[in-house]
This record gives sequence, structure tokens and C-alpha cells, in this order.
Amino acid sequence: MKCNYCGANLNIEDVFCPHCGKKNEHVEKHVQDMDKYQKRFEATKREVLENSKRFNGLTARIMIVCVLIVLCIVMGIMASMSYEIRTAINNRSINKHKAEHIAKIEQFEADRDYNGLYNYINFNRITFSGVLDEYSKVQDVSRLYHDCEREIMRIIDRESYSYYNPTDSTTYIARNISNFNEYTTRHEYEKDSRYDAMFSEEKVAYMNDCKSDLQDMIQVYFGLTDEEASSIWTMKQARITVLLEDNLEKMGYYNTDGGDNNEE
Amino acid sequence: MRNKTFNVKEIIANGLIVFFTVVLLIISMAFISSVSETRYVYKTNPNSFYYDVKGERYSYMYDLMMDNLNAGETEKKNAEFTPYYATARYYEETLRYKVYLEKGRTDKISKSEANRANYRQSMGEIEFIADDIDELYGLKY
Repeated sequence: MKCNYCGANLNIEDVFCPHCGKKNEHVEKHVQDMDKYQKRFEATKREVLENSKRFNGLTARIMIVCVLIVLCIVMGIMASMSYEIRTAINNRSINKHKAEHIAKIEQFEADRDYNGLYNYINFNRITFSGVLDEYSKVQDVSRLYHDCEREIMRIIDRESYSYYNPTDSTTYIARNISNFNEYTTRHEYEKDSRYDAMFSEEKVAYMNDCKSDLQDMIQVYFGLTDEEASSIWTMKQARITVLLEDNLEKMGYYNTDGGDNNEE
Repeated sequence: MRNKTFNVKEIIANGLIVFFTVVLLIISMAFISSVSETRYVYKTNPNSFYYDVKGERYSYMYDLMMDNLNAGETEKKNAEFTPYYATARYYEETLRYKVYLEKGRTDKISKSEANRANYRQSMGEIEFIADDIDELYGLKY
């Protein structure tokens, strides 16, 4: 670059000519150009950075959505398998305390504590666990005894409930009685040796005692004769219901028309 | 226009995040409640048991006690339930006691009597209920 006045060589940054001292007219345009380029550069840089930031934000969101979808699928699969998972956790816990459970159940068995045995198995989720299957039959009969007892309890304090109808109880008890033989009988499919433990001598004795105690309870609370009491096991469910209702009526427990118990 | 497109995409992405988060929470809660098999404790307030005692709804009390025990409640956890659970137990034991008496089951009577005495003692201030229960079973007139 040369000075417009003396023709001397100038540097781009020289504001004045070092030779003649006149103003360098190129420098002003140069500075303006540089400012313009700088501004354009800054604007482009800002735009690039902003776009990049925006792109990164969107990418992150898409990633999060993908992760959430995967988690939803995984949790969905796990939720659909929750029964199996729960059973596995439960069975592991039962297995861990197996010896303790067996000791407790056998104590209930020895004491002929039907309710205790049923509640213990029920509260500890041993039912249908497949871990202590040999006690499933004694638990079944204990449940029948327990349920009959609960229904008799309802009959006893029936006057406290205006909505209670003893027919519900007699029907339920009759169903349990008629089911009793079904539960205690060793069926054809249970002849296999793996069912032997369910029908061991002690367990059969327990089931017989349970049956006998249930019979006593029914006899006492429904005022049955010895003959009637012993025949309930061979009767049809409907016949048992009629017998129990008739006896309750004779004892003045309720009117067989049903309805409001307090109307008596 | 370009910026607007980006905003729409971001809004959609945010909406999807919220949607899938809610879905994930619902599935997780369903899974946890299903696995833990949480059972509802019906009566946490002993006063409500007291109303059952007052109303002589012993079988109902017994059912509630069983539901609570089944839900993992124990007498140890809630000592204030002890008198009411003892009442329900007394009601249950007396049912059997009457059978033993009437059937002359001397082998079982003494144990049943001892159980009844224990439950009566645990009833504390509401021990008088035991007499009402006996009367209900026709054991006292």
C-alpha cells in the first residue's frame, strides 16, 4: 500500500504516513471493513452456538424419551409378571423359615388348634405356595372348620345386626359340610406316592378329629340329635341347609322367611 | 420459521417426557403394590372397636381382628388393640367352650377355661364384656 500524497510504502495499520505525515486514507476503510467482518463473525458464531445448543437440547430430550420408553416396556413386562415375582419372593421367604413353619404347624396339629393352623398358614401366605404342600389338606379342613365357626359366631350375635339373615350362614355352613368329605377323600389322582405326606396317619387323624369337632359344634349350636348330627356328612347340601334352618327356627333363632332379623 | 420448528419439536419432546414419566410412575406403582401385596388395615382407631363392643357386634370385631392380623397388624404393634382383640378371642373361645361343656369334653375344658381366663384378663377395663358374652352363649343367666 502506498501513500496517496508522497507514494511512500505504508503498513496497513499506519494512520499517518511516516514519510510525509499525511493521513493514511486506506486505514479508515480497513478499520470499517474489519469491524464489519468482526460483527459478521460474532453473529455467525452466536448463531452456530445457539443452533448447536438447541440441537443438543432436543437430542437430550429425545434420548430421555427413548430411555423412558425402554423403562416403561421393562416395567410393563415386570408388572405383567408380578404374580410370579411375588410368588417367588414369598416362596423364598417360606423356604428360609421352613423348619420354623413346620414346627409351628405341627404344634397346631398336635393341639388340634384348627383356627390356629388355618390362620398361621393363611397369614404367612403358605397357601398355594407349593412349598409346604403336605399341609394343604389339613389346612383345607381347618378352613372349613374356621369358616363354620365364624358363621356360628354371626348367628350368636345376630341381634346386633339389622341386615343379617341367618339363611346366609346356614347355606354357607351346609356347603362347607358337604365339601368336607370331598377335601378329606383321597382321590384317584392323589394315589401317587407324592401325595402320601398329605394323607399320613397323623394328618388323617387330624382331619377325622376336625370332622368330629365340627360335628359337635354343629350339633350344639343347631340343637341336632346324635342321629341327625352324624347323618349330616352323607346328606346333600340342600337337605343340610333345611335341617339347620328348621332347627334354628325351633330354637327361636329366626323366622325362616328371612328379612329383618330384628322384626321378631 | 426455522426457530419455530425447533420450538415445536421441543414442545413435543417435553410432552412425551411428561407422558412417559407419568406412564412409568403408574406402572411402577402397580408393580410395587402388586409385589408387596399390601393389605389394607381396616381399623386403626381403637375407638371404632369400642363402638363394636358397645353395639355387641362381637363377630364383626372378630372379622376385623382377623383382617388386621392378616394385614400384618399384631397385638405387639398396637397395644391399644389388645383389649379388643382379647374380647374377640374370648368370644371365639367361649363358642368352643360351650361345645366342650355340652359334649362333656373334659380333656379340652380346662385348657379352654385357662384361655378364657387369659383373654378376660387382657380385656382390662372392658372385662365386664366377658359376662355379656357368656350370657349371649347362654352360659350365665
